[in-house]
Amino acid sequence: MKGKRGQVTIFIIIAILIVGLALFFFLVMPNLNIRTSFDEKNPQAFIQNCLDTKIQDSIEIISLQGGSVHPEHYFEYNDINIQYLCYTNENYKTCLIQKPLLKQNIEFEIENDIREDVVACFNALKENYESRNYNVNLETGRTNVELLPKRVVVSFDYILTVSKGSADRYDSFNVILNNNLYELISIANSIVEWEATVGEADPRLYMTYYPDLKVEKNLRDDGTRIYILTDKNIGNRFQFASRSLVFPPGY
Amino acid sequence: MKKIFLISGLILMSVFFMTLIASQEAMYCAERTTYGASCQNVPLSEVNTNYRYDRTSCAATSYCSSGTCVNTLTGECLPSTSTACDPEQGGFFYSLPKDEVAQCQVGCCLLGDGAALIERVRCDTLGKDYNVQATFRGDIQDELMCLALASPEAKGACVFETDRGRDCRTITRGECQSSAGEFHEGFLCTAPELGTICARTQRTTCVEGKNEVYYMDSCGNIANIYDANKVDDIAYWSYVPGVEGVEVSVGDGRGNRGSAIYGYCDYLMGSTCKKYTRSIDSVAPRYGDYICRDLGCPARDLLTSGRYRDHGEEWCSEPISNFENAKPGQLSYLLYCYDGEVHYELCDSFRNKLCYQNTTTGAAGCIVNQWMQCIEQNSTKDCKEIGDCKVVTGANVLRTAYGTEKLLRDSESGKDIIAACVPKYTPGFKFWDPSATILDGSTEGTPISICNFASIVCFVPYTQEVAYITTWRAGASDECVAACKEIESWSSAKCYEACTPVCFDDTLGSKNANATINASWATSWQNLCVSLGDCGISSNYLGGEGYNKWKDLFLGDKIDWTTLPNADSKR
Repeated sequence: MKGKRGQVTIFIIIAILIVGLALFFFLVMPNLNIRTSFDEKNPQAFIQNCLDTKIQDSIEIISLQGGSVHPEHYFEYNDINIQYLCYTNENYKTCLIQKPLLKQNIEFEIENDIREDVVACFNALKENYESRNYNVNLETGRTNVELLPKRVVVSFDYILTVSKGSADRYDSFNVILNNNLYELISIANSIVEWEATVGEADPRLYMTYYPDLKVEKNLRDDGTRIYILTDKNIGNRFQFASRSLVFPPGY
Repeated sequence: MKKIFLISGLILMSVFFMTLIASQEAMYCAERTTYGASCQNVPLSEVNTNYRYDRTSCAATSYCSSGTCVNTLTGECLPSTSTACDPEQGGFFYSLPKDEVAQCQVGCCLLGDGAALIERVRCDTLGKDYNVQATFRGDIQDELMCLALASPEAKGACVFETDRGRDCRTITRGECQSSAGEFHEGFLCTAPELGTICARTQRTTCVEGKNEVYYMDSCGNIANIYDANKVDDIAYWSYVPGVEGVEVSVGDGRGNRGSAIYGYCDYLMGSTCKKYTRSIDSVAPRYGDYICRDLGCPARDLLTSGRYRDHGEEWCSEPISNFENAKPGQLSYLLYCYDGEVHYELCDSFRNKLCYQNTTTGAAGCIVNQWMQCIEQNSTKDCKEIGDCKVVTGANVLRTAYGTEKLLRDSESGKDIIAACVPKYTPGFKFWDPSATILDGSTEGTPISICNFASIVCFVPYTQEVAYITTWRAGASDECVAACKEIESWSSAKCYEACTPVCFDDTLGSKNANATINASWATSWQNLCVSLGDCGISSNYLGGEGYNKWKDLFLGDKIDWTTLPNADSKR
């Protein structure tokens, strides 16, 4: 009987240890993710390292989903929900452009998607200084995402003042990524304009003008077209859906 | 005494009968639908009532009427609705078409040392985005004239004195001046008279944004276009083309695909600069590691139909003539070769568009299959001219008011004949989904399938003029003759002839004998049936036979089926 009690006790202890470990991984590990290399003279590098991957992931997801993190009106294609940028529910009619301000929409989507990570990274930066006995003052500000030719610039209006003896003030934080989303959005807008005015666009036209661009057009049963734009040099991809000038089956 | 034979359900696929959604739902303009689309005409059940909506067409509303949205931040002008053109995000809406908005006027934009024909507002923003001077010339609308205004800054050799000696870079005059260098316009850094440390090499390279293969000097400067014959040509390594008689050889003039000697590649001709790869390029360059790569698609590619295709070449998956008797599942694709890869586009899932290739120019594209107005044509001439239609004789889907098949005017003979104008290229539809094949309920009012157009019920009254002596003969019903005379004002004889059905042999051996189907009549209806769409008996595009036989579609009692053509065919 005593032996059995002992066994039960051991099992309980093991169970507590497992639960404890699980809690540790779930609660503490996320913070470990942002423990990137820290150089107290270069907080900008810390922010760049901390946010680089998140911003890249965010841009990739948004690009594959037609410019939205959570597409509201979409066509499911290869298990991805792709936002309609031009749409009509009627037959024999050209579509209406759903997002004429696509570039701003995407900048806003990226900004929203990275918001929590930005806060976490700046907090981690502050904690790093504090752990090295600095007096830290962090003034938070806006995050600006700007799609520019061949790059994406994310700048943060944060002001960091650290002092340990002398005081240092840092007010220029940004992350710059090499990405052709600016160019792909411009092509997407041109295609969408063709969809809205003529009914569809011809990929051959774009591939002739832009040798580094691959344009694919996939027609689905309900008349939806999925356009996939790929930069052949760096592999960036942007895809979106459109439904325009649909000829229904039958009489 | 009359004997009535009933053939019902000819070409009748009961599976296509369905309930028509005849109730005309009121339509609303929804600023936002329940599924997230903006500005759609939808029934009330699909309106997101948290946004604006009205029981009218969107074109009649203020918030969903069409106009032009000028994106003041990107400089783009796009057709849009006012609701989607949010001013807080930088949108400015005009209730005008794009070409009537001054800011969207197209003209020549001189951007840095380049030029392009674009909108005024776009020109300004591109200047900011690329951080170059932008000048808009609204008076120039011609693209060639615009391109001629581009003034690329002249390049030359910029020499610097360094510890290593006279170093050199091939840059523009402005760049050289800001670097405090000594500029020599039209010279290359390897010109002997400049006395630089840069020397000729046998190295080549590709340049971003350009298609040609270029020589590179020992300092890493881009020199003239690769030409193996000029690897040691002093003048070619001293001046840019056009100076001191230096010229670039265009080689074969067709892009020099796979040439070991020339680097004058041409993307439009099917070549561009790439690093030489033994497994891809058939020939190695004589010097350097770069070559004009052939951008054509090799015959081994499954989609090229077993032949080499040039870059830019386009073709159809099969000729349009193959769709004259299209099978269920048979679809038309447009294919084209670009940059060594075959791309394909489905023209339409239901053959409403088909790929057409011009045999003279070789150009291919998806064109609309214009079959929709075929059935309503009244003459063979109209039928052939209206669109993609053809005449099928011996049957017609349309009926006269007195129940006979409507006649088609033969434009050559001037006579009225039993014939139908039907689609030349058989359209398709969702034959597996009965609800998707109905006619528009608002115009027809009754449920009917496409294939049911080619369905006919044929009543044949047989009469015996002298009981037990003369034979039983097919005749016309009195009602039909009477109606015919009233409507057409024809003679009794003509109306009697018009009203006499031809689906069976005109005589019957005895009162209880089986009637024999008129083979020619049956064939005409079979042809009519399969011309209308994926109807009747057919194999699919892969050759798999259908579920039914023609015999299953001709129904009736006391009928001799032996004369029915293709009675047991399932394809």
